Amino acid sequence: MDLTSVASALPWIPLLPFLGFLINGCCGTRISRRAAGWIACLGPLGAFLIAYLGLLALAQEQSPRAFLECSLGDWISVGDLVVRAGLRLDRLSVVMALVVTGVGSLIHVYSVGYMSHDKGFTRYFAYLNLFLSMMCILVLADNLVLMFVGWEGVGLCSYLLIGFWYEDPAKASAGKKAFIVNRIGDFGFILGIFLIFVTCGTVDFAELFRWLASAREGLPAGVAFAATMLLFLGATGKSAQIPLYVWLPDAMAGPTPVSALIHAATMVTAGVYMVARLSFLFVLAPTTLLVIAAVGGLTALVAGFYALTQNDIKKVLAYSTISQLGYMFLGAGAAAFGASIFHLFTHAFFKALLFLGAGAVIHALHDEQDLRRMGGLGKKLPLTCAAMVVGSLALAGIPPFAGFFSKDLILLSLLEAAHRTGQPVWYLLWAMGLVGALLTAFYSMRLIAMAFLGAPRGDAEAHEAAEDPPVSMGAPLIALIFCSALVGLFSWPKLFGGFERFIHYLDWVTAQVPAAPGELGHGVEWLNLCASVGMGVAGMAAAYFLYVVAPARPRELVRASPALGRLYELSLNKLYVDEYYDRWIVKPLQAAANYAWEIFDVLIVDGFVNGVAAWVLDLAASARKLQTGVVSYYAISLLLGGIALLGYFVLWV
Amino acid sequence: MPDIGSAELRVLLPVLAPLLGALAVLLTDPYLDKGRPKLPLVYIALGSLMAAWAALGFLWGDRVVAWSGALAADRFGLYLGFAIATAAGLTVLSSAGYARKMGVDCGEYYSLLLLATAGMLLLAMANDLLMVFLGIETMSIAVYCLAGITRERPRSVEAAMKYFLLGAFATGFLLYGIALIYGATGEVRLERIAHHAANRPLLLAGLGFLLVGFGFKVGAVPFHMWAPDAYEGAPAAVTGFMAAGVKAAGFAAFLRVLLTAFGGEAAAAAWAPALWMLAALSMIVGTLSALAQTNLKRMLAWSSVAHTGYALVGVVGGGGVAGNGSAAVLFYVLTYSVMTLGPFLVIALLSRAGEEFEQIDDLAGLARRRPVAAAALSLFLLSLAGIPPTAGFMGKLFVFRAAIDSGWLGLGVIGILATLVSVYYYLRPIVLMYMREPRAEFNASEPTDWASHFAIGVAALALLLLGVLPSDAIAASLESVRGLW
Repeated sequence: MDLTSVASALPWIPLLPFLGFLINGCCGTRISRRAAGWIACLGPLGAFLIAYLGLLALAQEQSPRAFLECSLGDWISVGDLVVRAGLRLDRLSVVMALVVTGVGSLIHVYSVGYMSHDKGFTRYFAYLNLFLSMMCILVLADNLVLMFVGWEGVGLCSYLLIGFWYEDPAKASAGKKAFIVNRIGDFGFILGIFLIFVTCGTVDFAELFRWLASAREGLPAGVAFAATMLLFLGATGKSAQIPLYVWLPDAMAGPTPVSALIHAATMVTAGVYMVARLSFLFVLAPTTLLVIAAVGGLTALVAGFYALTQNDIKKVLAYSTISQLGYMFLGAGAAAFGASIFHLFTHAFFKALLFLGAGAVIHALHDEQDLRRMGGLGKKLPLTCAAMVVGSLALAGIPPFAGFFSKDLILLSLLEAAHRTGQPVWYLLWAMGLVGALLTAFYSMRLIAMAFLGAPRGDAEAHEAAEDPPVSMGAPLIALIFCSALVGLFSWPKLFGGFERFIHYLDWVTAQVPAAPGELGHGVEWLNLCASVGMGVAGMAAAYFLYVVAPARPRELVRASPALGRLYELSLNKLYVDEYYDRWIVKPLQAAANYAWEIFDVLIVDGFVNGVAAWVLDLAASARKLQTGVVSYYAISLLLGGIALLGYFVLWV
Repeated sequence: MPDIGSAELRVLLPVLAPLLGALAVLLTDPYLDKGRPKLPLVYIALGSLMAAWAALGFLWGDRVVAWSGALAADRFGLYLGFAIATAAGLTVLSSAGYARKMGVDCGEYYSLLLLATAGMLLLAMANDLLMVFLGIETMSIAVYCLAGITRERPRSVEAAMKYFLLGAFATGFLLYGIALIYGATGEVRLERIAHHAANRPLLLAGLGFLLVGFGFKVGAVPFHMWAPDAYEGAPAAVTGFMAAGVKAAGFAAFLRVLLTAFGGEAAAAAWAPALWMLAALSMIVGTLSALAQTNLKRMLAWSSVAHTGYALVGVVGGGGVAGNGSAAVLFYVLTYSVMTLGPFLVIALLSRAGEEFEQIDDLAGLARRRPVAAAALSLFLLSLAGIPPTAGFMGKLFVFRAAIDSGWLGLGVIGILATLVSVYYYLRPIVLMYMREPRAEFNASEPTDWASHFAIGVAALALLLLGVLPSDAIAASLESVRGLW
């Protein structure tokens, strides 16, 4: 096959969904729902096919560094800043593009069924297509500025879709919260871009790479630290890490397929992708890497802790997403960017599966999201139950499901980092990861137990009427069940004689840190593997015991021990972080803004502006009087002007 | 006697195309049915303008001077030539429906339009003062007639009369200026005039008179008095053509004369303060007067006076051929001609048989009835106000920066303040269109005027393109100025 022809088709990856957005956005009211659904699904599918052709074309290349490129010409050219807009498909971006368009296509299909009764049907698909288009720009951008365009674009779509049911003020304000919290991160991101441009004189990834490789004195350590920290601040916003994770649980206000696509599988992983994309820069700042790992580890732990007690099925999954993103940053922090992207890859499938399964439950129960009013759904919804079980096993890291392979690699990379750097802190991070795995397994099993096992606790009528979703929703579920079970095999561990193909596929496009002399022994690898699987099994067993075998035990335990009760309260209220933010950041800002509005804006600015405006309008009224409409008067003006000019030229100059 | 070789004919092509088109229109007209729409005339006019476009594109390249140096086909002239031909083409498209509504769907209308275009293109390429004069007169006389072509409307006739009388007066100044310059130097060719020392009173007096004549054509204060009355009275499509084409051609000749004949340092030092004054007055008077208007066309007339001021800021801050100011003026006039034509195209579209749609208050609630027209008009007004990502923003940015870079800080500050004030009168129609209940009835029942919609769409798209991706147009304007020598 001809490689160049694929390269020139690259712009169609974002363009096809964008066309869908245009058609559904502009004439959505004039075409039938059926047509709108088809149009919306065809764009992402087409994009997926092109990305797949790109994968084939890349496979033909000898060099692992090969990439397909399509220049879109000069975009911004101001002084020294020349930004060429271009799309680049290399091994890293092809993986992302396939995940985004592949999972995206499945979720589009699912949405056709899920949203079929919504009056904003075409608006929904217009937004969803726009999101996919922006996400593809983010992924395929060959420079930081274009990436930022996609970054902001997906932020906008996220806002639009969280507040999709804008008549509900709570949902609309959840959208605003997401947007505003993300602005803080974006501010860091854009400052990071400025710093990189000022220091290196370029924003193009390839040129930046060359600059870093060739600059004689290299990047000053301080600048590398500052730039990477600023970029990471952007990542914490988009990828919902401490301290900016608070928007993601609220983002569950959007339709469930949106939560699956944007707030689980794709957009929130943009931060991880950005770190991997710029890995050659991040490895120059070991301190930043440690910070990333620490933030990731802490987030994995804390969010897992929150998820233990949530009663809203989507909130459990939301905190689980935050926690899993924490794992990805743990891996990135340990400079195992391949493992981090691999976890992103597997997570996209099983988390999309979990969300779509949860959506099927919610759909079947007519918008019931409270786990306390579910139970016993396993027999009523066999397909949905299977989906949720497979998703949960993958999430909990039980072999041979996908999550096991990627989580194991991340944990192993932490041990490698400890071995490489000799810093004991990495052991601590490893332990945090293990505890996180325990929590993950526990809340996964709890969710299954509360929703599908035991006796029905909710409305009996609704329970009777519940049934598995229609084909358009069921087919994507089945596809994702297979993916969640199998995609882990792309990276069969070395321990079992595998080659870790996925990880090595990314070797040349992500930065590698020099390995420490001597390998980790097989013993350590076995230890790691047993520990992680043990944690998963233990967590699930504990949850099974507490919620199925002896459902009365949790309450008794809490009553027996006040300390446990307190812990339960802390988890349920998410450590009161939202309240702290409200008290120490939001309220003071509001007070300051109110003060500024009443004193500064109303009195000073408005007074001044209105005063000037009134004065200018007075002036205008008198200027108007000069224009009388009498020709001779005009001629005199002309004559006087001429005389003045002449006088100036003859007498003055 | 010059040898009439191929170069001579080539250079003339852009002028010949509309000229022949005008003749063809006049010859075809008698053979057409009286009662039916005269579409063949529109086709001929469009065809000849496309030919002119093609000729301009064909000549784009190295400087070719012909007719004993009287005409120069260089990028400088061709750059605005494109703007002129485009403006004329869009006007013809919009006229197909508009002229019928106004009862002037006749051969005279289209032929005058084409003759004026020929004059404008001649003016843009004129390389000696006599050719400048010839171009100005060819253009102006056709435009005077066009302004009064709706003979039944008294205001149209009044506009034509006023424009003609004052125009004749201004032409007198121009011609006298040419005479004085010839007297001082014995030359009419621009680059030869430059060889003479600029400090002689006779030459400077000639320059002063020239400035009056050009100032009148581009509508600079205090030679602007004709503009509001003429803009208001003339039929909307003609007004748009006047505002875009006449100004573009006027600036092309104005700038070429200043840069070529008076581009030396001493001469520039003499005219810069005078133009400083004209620019400042135009911006201030134009902006303030526009604030108080209730008639949309009159408001746009004053706005065009203010925009002349902005363009003159670039002329003052020109920095000669080396600086960016002159290129900024070219880019500014290019964008201005599109964004000022736009609103008139919308007015023409919304006008009813024999009745112009021109009161600002009539715009109330337009967005509900005519969403496309309202959106386009909003875009044009935002661009006129200089709000990104429209072309108006890039144009203003470019001229103000040129002025400030070359040390004319005061002028830049006046320009920015005037822009701020102008936002008020540009946004008011938008507020009315989108946030008020409709007051007047709109002619929604008429068949859609596709040609007009197409013209409006082209203008809107051009503004967005020039606003988002201006690099090519800016680069071409820089080349144009460098190619003057």
